[in-house]
Amino acid sequence: MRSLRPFLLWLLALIAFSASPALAELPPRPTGPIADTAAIIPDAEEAALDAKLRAYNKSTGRAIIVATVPSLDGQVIERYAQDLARAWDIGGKESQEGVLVLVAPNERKMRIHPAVGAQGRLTDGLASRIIRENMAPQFKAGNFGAGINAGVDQIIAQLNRDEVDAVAVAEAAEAAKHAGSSSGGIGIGTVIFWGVLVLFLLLLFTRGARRRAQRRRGYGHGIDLWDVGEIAANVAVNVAINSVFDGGGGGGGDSDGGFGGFGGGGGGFDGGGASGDW
Amino acid sequence: MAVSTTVRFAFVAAAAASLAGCGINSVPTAEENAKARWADVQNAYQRRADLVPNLVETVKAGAASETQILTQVTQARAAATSINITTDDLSNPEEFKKFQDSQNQLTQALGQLRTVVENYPQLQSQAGFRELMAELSGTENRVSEARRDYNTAVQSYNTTIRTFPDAIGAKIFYGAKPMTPFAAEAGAQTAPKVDFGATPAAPAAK
Repeated sequence: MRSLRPFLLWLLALIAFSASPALAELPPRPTGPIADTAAIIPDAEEAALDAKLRAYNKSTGRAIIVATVPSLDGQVIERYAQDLARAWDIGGKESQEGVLVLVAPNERKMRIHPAVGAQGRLTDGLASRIIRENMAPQFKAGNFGAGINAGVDQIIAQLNRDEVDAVAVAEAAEAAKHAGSSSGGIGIGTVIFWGVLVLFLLLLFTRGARRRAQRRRGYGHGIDLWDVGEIAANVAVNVAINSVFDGGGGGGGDSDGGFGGFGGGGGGFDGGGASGDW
Repeated sequence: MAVSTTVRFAFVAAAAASLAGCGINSVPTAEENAKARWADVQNAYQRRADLVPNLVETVKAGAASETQILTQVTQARAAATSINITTDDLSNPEEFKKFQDSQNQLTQALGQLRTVVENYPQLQSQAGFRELMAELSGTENRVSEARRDYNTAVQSYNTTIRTFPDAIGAKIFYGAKPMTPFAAEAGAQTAPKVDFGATPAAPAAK
């Protein structure tokens, strides 16, 4: 047994090292369409914009997310926007119509970062024009709220050039339902599958062992093996049941008050878009 | 014979587990993922190549005297689009380097073009030209993101086929060879050198 110990230690070290390295510090995903972490949008304007973007997301499934950050952590804004859009899981997986509007007031940089589903209408050239003509002049005057609002209006006008995609609406509704629940973790299906498998194997094993034990040395001695198997099976069932209920419990309120711009699977951010400064 | 049945079951379960553990699934999964990311890289480069003729025409109209840089860009584009590599070549560092070099050359030529057109305010004021330049910037960024994603996928694939236990399956069943990642972004991220005075003397000589 002692010879196993170095091997186990080595294995443990391997597991520890294979853990993924920490990403750059990104602001946590907000619950609504606006994450004003740099605190540059006046409250009244933020509330109005928030309501507008929520309503737009609900009726069209398109997710326009506004983020302001106090620092880009020394990265170029293109990289930062890409990491943020992916980390926040913006937009639906099928429709891929998410748009991230990122403003970094201290670096004096901004970016409109659309996913591929939106790029047909919101091309890089148009995004650049919106930045130059609608946003930058307001930013120069210090009116961040008005500039962002004007930019968002233009983005909406561009996106409206296509009819509403039913898939996108469904995805947003689905995402809204799950908003607030801790996503991630293991799916219920997986848990059930493994639970049943473990149970099946354990039963198979213990049955065989029991019968064998009975035959070989009489009834009395077979019991401990049988008990062990039974306990293990019970534990497996309990674990499976508990995790199913834990997973289900998180969903909570299915009132459609949630915001459906996040958690639809996201994707489609290929680095397209336009950046600008002021 | 209950004993042998149990043993057989255990054996089958163990065999299945060890097969799954030694790369039967993980190696092709990682490989397909890397190939898909490679397709993204090619798309982004193609998008850029498609943009160049339009850009050259627009610049020609506004800055006709800059023939040298325009020729350079056109040649670099032709060279870059003439090299096509298949997914099999991804394991061939030499072919891969050829592709990478030709694309980098176009990146550099476009960077120079970008610098040159700064001197033409009337060009800069054209809405059409500005939007083309925005498309170009967006596409360069797509290229760099696609390369990044590809490198990540390749790194994961290469790690899979070289580490225990997946290395066993990779060697025995697939004969898997490591793929080539892109080398550090040569000229893609660094700002192009501005050389006022002397015009760039050596076009496409590499």
